Amino acid sequence: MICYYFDAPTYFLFASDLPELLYYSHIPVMAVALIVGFFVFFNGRNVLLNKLLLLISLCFALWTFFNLITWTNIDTTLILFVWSLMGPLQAILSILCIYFIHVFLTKKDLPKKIKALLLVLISPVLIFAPTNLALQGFDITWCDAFSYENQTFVLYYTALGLLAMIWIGVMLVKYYRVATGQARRQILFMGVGIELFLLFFFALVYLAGLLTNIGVFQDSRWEMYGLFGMAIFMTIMGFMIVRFKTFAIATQASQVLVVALLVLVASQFTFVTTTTSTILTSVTLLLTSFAGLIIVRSVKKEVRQREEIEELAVSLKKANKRLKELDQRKSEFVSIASHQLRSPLTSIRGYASMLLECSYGKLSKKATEAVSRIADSSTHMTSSIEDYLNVSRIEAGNMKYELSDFNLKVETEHVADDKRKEAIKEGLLVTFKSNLTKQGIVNADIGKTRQIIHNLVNNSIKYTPRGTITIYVHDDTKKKKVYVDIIDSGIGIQSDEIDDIFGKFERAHNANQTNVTGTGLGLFVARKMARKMNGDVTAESKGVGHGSTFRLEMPLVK
Amino acid sequence: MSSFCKNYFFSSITIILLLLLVGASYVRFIHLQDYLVSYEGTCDPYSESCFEECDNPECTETYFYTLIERHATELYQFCGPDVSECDTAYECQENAGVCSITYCDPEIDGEDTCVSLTEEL
Repeated sequence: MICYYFDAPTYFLFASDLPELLYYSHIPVMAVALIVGFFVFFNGRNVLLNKLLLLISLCFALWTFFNLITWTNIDTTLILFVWSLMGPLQAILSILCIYFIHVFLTKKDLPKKIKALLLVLISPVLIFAPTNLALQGFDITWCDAFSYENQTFVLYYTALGLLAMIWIGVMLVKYYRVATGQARRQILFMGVGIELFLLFFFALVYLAGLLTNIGVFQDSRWEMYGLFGMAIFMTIMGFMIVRFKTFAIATQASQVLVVALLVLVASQFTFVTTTTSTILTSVTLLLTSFAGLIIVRSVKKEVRQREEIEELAVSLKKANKRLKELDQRKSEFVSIASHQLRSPLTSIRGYASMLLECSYGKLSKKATEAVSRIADSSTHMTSSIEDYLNVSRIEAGNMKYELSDFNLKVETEHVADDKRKEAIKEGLLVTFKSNLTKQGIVNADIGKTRQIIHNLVNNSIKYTPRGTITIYVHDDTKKKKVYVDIIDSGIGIQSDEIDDIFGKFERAHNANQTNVTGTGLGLFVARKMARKMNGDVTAESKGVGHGSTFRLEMPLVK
Repeated sequence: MSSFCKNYFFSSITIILLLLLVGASYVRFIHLQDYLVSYEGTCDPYSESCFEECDNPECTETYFYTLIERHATELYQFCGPDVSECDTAYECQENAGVCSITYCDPEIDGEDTCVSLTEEL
């Protein structure tokens, strides 16, 4: 039978007197769905998610193709044949969407029970579609079968679409709540894409058919707008491929998007009728091609750079982790070794002191000199070991600070007095000055603060071959700070080395000129301790040979 | 074999159902042409109550018709694929299976839709 009111199509799909939007709504959307579906599939044939997206694309493309046949052909047998398959395709699409989202969210296949449930839900559509319970006949006058469709059957497979929307919506909300960062954004995009597709597709196709059947519309041209839901879905898929590498695809995604875009623009040739429209479409196509080429190149470059950076970041992360582990082990080793060394040293120092004090009888002059060297060396070694222990405590986070209010000026003066004798031995003059507008009370660990000042003065003594060391305590009431400046006339520091000398085991490059031994830990420990007590240690120098000033600053309480 | 069935049980059942669906649809609609068709039959408003429809968008001309519903197989046997050139298509033969001609009923279809000029004769 043929619909005698209508003309037969040329080339199977091209007929006259059809809605202008028909080819535009069908061919490009079908092409985009197939391009994205196959592209994703060929980039990961064994990935279940990719297979499912291809199946969705194929089902949708087939439905669109069948729909196009019903619009353009006049052979009733052919139309009825494809008409009977469109309902089942819609039902399969809804089930596939549920399957797809489940795999996307859980990264796992559907449980067998759910598969069985979905099979049970879809079976009536597959079984009854070719029977009179679904489709009884054909209206040759209008060349459609709307009036012969069983509305219960139509409602059933449309309800499957609604079920898919609800099912997917619930799953998306559930996973969106617990997801974070990029995964959360991916769920959001995927959710919007698939829900819009289902809403457009099922709602408009159903309503268009229903309203045509009851005579509100002459034909079901409104269903054409439903197909744009797939275009939205595929655009979001494309965006996700580029942005999040969904479906494990990275570099070629932009090419697919550009091709899809070109297909969309080129498809306008199928319905343009005037020369002006043809010229405009040609120009648009050329411009789109040019812009697409630039996009493809820039995206490829960007993706390559991003991949390189990501690889580097991963390597750095690993290296950093390994370094931290090694550092931790080293600190543990230093701590254990230092403890082991400290006990015998205490004995050495004790016995050396007793020998010097003639507790075991008077020593000869040569023996006294030798024992004095033993005492000096062991004292120096004890100091070094204390530094190592402090470093390992700081790095392990085991350094404890007992904060209390005390007068910084008084404590500094005590340290100055302690160090004065040692300085005089080295031929240096230590002077103490203060200029405080307040009392100079700070809230800090008194022992640690003394140790900081001790370290700074010690440092100045070491690196000042001759001259003076001035210890100057002053405050700034506006900034609520109190400062201890240790000003020496020593070897000085190059400006570019000032920050480095506070590093672990760091010494200025001219440190060896004074022929002193040092661990390179004194300043490191001093700064770390000061910062833990809300203070700081800084240094400045006018250059090599012009001396240095080390400053301890602490918050002023009163 | 058992592993295949275990992994692909549901997809196999779905594919089998799909193939059966396509086969059944092909046999019913294309091979047997087992379905009803409805089309517009000729109608004389002077002797029958006819549906009236515009013949052009401006509706300067109208035509009259009845609604005929028949089984496609029989119709094809009588008329071939094009019923518009087949007089047999517009009447129900005695031995015809499913065949009905529906005239316009003002009570059902509305008085504006129906045209009956029997009184004017």
